[in-house]
Amino acid sequence: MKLLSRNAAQTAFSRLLTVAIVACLVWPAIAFMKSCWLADSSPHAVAFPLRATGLFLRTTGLAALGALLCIILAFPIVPILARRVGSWPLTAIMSATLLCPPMILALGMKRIAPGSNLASLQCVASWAVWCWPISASLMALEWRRSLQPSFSAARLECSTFRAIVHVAVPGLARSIAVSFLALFAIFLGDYAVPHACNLQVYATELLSIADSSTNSRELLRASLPCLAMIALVFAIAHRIWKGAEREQTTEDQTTELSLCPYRRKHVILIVIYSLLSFGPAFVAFVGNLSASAFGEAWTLYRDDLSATIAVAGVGSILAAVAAIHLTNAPRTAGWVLLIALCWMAVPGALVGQALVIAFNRNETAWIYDHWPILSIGYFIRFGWIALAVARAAQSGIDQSLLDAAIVDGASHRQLHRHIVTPLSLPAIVAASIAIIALSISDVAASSLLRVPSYNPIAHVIIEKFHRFEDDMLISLCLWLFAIAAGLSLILTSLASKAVGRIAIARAGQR
Amino acid sequence: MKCGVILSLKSSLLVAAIPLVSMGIGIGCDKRTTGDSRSTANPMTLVAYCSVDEQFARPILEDYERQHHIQIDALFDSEAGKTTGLVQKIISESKSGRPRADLFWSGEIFHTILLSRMGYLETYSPTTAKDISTRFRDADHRWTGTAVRARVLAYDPKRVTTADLPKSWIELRQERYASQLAIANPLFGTTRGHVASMFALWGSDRARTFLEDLHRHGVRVVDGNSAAVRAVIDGSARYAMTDSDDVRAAQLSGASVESVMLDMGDGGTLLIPCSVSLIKGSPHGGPEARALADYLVSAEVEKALAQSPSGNIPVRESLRNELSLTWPEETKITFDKIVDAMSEAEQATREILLR
Repeated sequence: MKLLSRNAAQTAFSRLLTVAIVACLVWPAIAFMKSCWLADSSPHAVAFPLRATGLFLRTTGLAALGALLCIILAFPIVPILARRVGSWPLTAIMSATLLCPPMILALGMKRIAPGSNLASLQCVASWAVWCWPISASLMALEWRRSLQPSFSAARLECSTFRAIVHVAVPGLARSIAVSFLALFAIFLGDYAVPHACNLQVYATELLSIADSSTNSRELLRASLPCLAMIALVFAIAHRIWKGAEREQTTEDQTTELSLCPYRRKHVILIVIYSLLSFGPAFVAFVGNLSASAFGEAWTLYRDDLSATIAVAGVGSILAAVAAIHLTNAPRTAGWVLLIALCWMAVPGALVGQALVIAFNRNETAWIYDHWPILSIGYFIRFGWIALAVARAAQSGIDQSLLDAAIVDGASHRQLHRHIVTPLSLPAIVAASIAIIALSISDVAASSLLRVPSYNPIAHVIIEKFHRFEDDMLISLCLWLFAIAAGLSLILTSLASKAVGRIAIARAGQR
Repeated sequence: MKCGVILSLKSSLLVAAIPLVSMGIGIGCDKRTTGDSRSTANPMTLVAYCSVDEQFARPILEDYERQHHIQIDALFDSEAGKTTGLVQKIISESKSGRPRADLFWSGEIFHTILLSRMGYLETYSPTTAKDISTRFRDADHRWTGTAVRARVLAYDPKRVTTADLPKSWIELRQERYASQLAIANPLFGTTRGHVASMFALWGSDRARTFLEDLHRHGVRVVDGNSAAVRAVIDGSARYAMTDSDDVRAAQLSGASVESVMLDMGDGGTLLIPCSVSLIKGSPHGGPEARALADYLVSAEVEKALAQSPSGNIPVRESLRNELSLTWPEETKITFDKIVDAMSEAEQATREILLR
């Protein structure tokens, strides 16, 4: 009876959580579509002015180039990352790179390659330097799972270059496609980096429409090109995913890889990547950082700094909880992931306006009038990262492990609680760090969702940029980076320990 | 089965509860009250929407907080959204019957007048505004203007001599100026008001021709007034239509940039005041909100803005005398007429400049 009531409680809780996650994702979409249905037609005659069309095409080109450069940049470090999954120095460098405010990278790039006619190059390079850890992580996951044996064998037969072209790239096709899709979506909706490079992009146009009008139909119409483009890229990536061959790795091989020591060339490569990641930021610091501005930044903005990180953290926790919970509900997980991926295609301005429409009511004033609206906004905007990563991690779990547990009498719930969730946790933690980084630098959605109690630090940074207060801007970025990086080091340390214990437990079982 | 971390039901509940508890703590610690903030409002808390630049407005509001033991939750505009974004917030919140702000302190006047016409502003004549000219006070007491900024033409003195400069705004339509000109998006902020003032003063035909000439000669439309100044600094433009405070901010950072006030065509230039207004039906409306409005309109605050890096010019003659500031020759067109022309100007901008 006691066991029955416990199971019933677990089931009820599980279903309630699933309903809450789905409601969070679906309700703003319903509210927004209803608002579009009721809205007047746009008063503006031209649906897609030539200027806006040109702006969209240029932004698409920049985003695609940025995603491609990110993947190329990440490629050399993938084999090392695959061998040293959970290694503290590598994950620390990657976390710190992601958490570095991208505006500071853009300012550094402007100094490295000055000139207003190089704005596009500055923007693309800043994106690549900022987000290479995302593509590196995805490709390393694939490499670790299936590619290392075949690549090693190919190198015995031919040159490294031929092995890369004929074995590595086709073998990583799935992760390259997913990386490209994710990065393309992120860059297409980015505002901060192009703004720092004095570049107008389509996200600027959409935010302007959202800010200047409450007509949701107008914003939806303007967002259609973004939705269509990301849907197209998704379709291509999906086709590549289905078409690519996948080789299963053995568990022994995976364990052995994680115990390889660093070699000298690995250390050199890590140093190069550290310089690449932090070099532009350092260049931005030089001559702009002053002790007085550093202290003043803390005095004036410490509340905004901590609130920004805390609110972004809650958003990523929501995503992580959803991801962990849905590993226990695989049937629902697919549908929820599909809904979350739809939000991936939605520009930040539209996310913001949808949430305003959904929650600007007396019944939900406790959400709308306070910071939870921002956390929910970040969850909706970036939660797909955690859900997709969890699903990918779950699909990579060795089936023999699950079979052995079933033979031992484990129930479905026990399988997921004791095997699937722990093995997926490190990947989910990594995704959470990426979500925190993207949330902190988000401008579009937070511009519409801001509450009076605090100012998201991304807006303060942009304000300082526009007031030509480079010293204050750099100081704020440094504080933000220090706090966020400190927290991520704790998270990655915990995740690394978890990975280590899992590896040791597996070795013990054999 | 020994493997890594074990998540029991308790741990699952804990993990799921973390965000909920965090939210609860956050709401509890939040400066504003929880639940229905209208019925259980802390009378000592005010919400101000503020598009005056945060670096100047924040110290003024914090001073007021300290003096009067009142908490002011200020929502500043972002460079992404500008004044327009805050105004749209006020409109959407008022339309839904739950205005969140008590007071609107704007860096310009045009959107304030629009809000006033829509009926979203409270009627109140600040007690400290008696020495302000009627030009800067609403006839129906819904807004008060102070601390003006000027619309100026920015240029780099290293590349442009004073002999090269135009004397009036209409001259910018010439190719030698328009091809090297950067302007902020005329659908937003003070540039919107500036273009509307051209329509109001010059008439529709002449203003449309002006925009067509700008477009034909390749005027560069950028994100905002400071982006226009940056275009001059980095050399991608020789001239920029912008606000005086943006030029001052660039000068204080050491950039080589100067500015000149141009004639609107009637012998005067366009001066844009900041404006203070109370939101109708606000949650904490009452004596505290009015007292804050009195303070923001006062000579003390206007002096602070004049002495700040923003360099606003006081509307009060006594203050100008005290600070040895001169009042530029101002255009005769009224703010109401400018707002009347805004719709037409916006339409023309979309059709001509932003097509």
